[in-house]
Amino acid sequence: MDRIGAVLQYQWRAYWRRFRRAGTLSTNNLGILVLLGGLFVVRYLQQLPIAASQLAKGETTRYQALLAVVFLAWLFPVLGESRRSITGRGLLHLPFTANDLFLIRVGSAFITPVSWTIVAGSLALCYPVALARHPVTGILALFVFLLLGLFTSLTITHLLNSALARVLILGALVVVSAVAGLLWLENQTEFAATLMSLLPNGLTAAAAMSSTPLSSLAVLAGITAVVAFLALRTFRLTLQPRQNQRSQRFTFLSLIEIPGKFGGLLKKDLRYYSRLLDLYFALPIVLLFNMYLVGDTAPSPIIFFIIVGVLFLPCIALAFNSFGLDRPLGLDRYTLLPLSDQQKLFSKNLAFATIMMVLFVTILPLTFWKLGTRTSLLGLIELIVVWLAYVSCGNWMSVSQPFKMQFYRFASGGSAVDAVMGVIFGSVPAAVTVYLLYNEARASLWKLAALMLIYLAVFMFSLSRSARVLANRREEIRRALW
Amino acid sequence: MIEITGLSKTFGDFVAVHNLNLQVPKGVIFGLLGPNGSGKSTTVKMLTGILQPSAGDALIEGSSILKSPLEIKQKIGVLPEDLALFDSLTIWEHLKLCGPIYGLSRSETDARAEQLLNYLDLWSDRHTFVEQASFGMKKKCGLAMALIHNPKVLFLDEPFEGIDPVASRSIKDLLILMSTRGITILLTSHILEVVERLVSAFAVIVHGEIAVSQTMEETLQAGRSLEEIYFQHVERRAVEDFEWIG
Repeated sequence: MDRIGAVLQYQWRAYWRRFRRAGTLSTNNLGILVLLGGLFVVRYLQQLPIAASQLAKGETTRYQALLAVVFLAWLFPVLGESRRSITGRGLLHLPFTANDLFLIRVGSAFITPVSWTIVAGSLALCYPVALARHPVTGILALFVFLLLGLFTSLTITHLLNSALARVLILGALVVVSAVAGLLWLENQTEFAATLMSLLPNGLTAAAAMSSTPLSSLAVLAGITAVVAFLALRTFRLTLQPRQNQRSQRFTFLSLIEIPGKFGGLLKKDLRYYSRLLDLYFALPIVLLFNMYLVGDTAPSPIIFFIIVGVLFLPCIALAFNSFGLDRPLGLDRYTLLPLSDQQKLFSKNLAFATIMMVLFVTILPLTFWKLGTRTSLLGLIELIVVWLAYVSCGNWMSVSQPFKMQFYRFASGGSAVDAVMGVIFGSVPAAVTVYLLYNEARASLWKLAALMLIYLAVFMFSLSRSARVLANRREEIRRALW
Repeated sequence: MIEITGLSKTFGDFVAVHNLNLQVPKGVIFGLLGPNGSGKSTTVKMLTGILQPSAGDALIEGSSILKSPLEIKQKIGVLPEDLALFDSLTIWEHLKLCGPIYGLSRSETDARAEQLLNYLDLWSDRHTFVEQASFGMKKKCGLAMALIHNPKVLFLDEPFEGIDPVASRSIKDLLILMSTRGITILLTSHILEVVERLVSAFAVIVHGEIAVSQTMEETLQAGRSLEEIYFQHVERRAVEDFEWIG
């Protein structure tokens, strides 16, 4: 254990060294982020007495919702980590067993302050459970549930290293979204409630409240044991050398050729961007909206215009931190290429536009079919204006506040406040479109076209200013990407 | 042709390169030698636009690195020390990415890439992702990228490090061919035997300053070897007796 403790100690030291390098609480508005986080925690704590009084009355809705929040929160410290310096593979040459390395992996999940906050928030759930019908089994189930959250996030993180597993996870996400969409369209609330009760948070609540608490606890413990075993097995797979993938590995992108001077860079960025997990939050939205368009006899154009704005939200990290997935060496290659700084930024903007077009590739034809030419044309204009707004803001943020992002992880870093400001700026055209269409349907096409011209001017200005900053801050950007 | 005038680079208080003055005539293979941390790579980085000089300037084929960096990048080929490759692209995709940026058509890019990869014995591995390639393969990929657009001046930072003897020989033959066709080559290397047989002039850089600069002809006429001149200017530690070893 001493040896494991020693590694974790240096893991901890390396994390904080990197963390401190970011600067003081004023850097990237970290202080405000801490404040916002604190407010969220306060809001969460306010829910605990409500959940407690509900549990005392035999009602579990709020408790289950809080459990779901905690479960999802556990996904982020592991799936969003970008500062872990010592990986399992990096320790393979040292005399550790695979189980030792797994313990180090589990221990390293608790290094970040975000993890401590989640642990504290999770343990606070003991308070409402203490008022439940079966407090002992309820608290035991809560601890098992927390372990389940941790092992699930570890398993998913490990699985994301495998191409096949990524496809399977994506398939599962699509199937779950489709089932949820069908249940919603068919108004099957009773069946949905039965399904929900079988989820881990339903079982945890049942261990505190139902007439058979021990059986719920046993099922939950069984699921947790299976997931823990999977976490260990998948971790062992991440330790294996990947020689078999060394050559001739074709991807969809390797089969297509994008013409033009930026074709190669665009293809590279599409491959990079498609590896950021944030993007995949958009898939269920796309799927559900497609199902809505097909299934509803008279879909609302307003919902379409709202969806155009909403679909940008999961993708903001690609616009606001466009160099985040390039390593410092990649940035060096950009420097060596005979491209102006404006061209480099523009190639990033084109890649973002392509990603957005891919998300809309099914929506636009369906809109054309169900809502008519005029609505789909207006939606296309809105899409372009929102893109212009996001990249105008994003170019500036990409060069002034870059941060490292990792493949198959969530984006974590940068200034939350600036991101919120960027989202507000980017969403303005969508809000204006919805307003115009809601109030004065006839004149909106020309007004939207005028809005597009204004945003085009803003984009040109942003591109030129950000390019100058890129030229002057290359070393700082490079350092931020280590 | 490369003309370096008073080139300096400082990082805070640390002077990496100090007042470097050097001329490399057209069509010459020039070796920039020196121990680790002497300032060779920093010099190459300044000449190729990766680093901004703190002072001084350099003309490459008549263009200033300060005034016309984009024009220079179009004319030069670079094999950087750390290769500067994109992790998730294949070797083939790296070359396909470069060609159009340098103004080559798709067919011309394909033809040149195929010829280069065959010559460097990388053709069968062209679909290997760089993150999974061996160091030697990555280096050859970087070299092919430096050559594909037919540069007028070539900067190679440690081109023979991690390369097998056969590929090393092929690269040397190619560099000699390029120099006979008027391409100027500036390379850095630690492998003195290779440099001695390849370059027509060299400079030894120590602590960011040029300790000696001469042609191989001058060296041979003085009856000396490159190694002798190198160790004359670079300190060497005596072997220490590590009692705990063995």
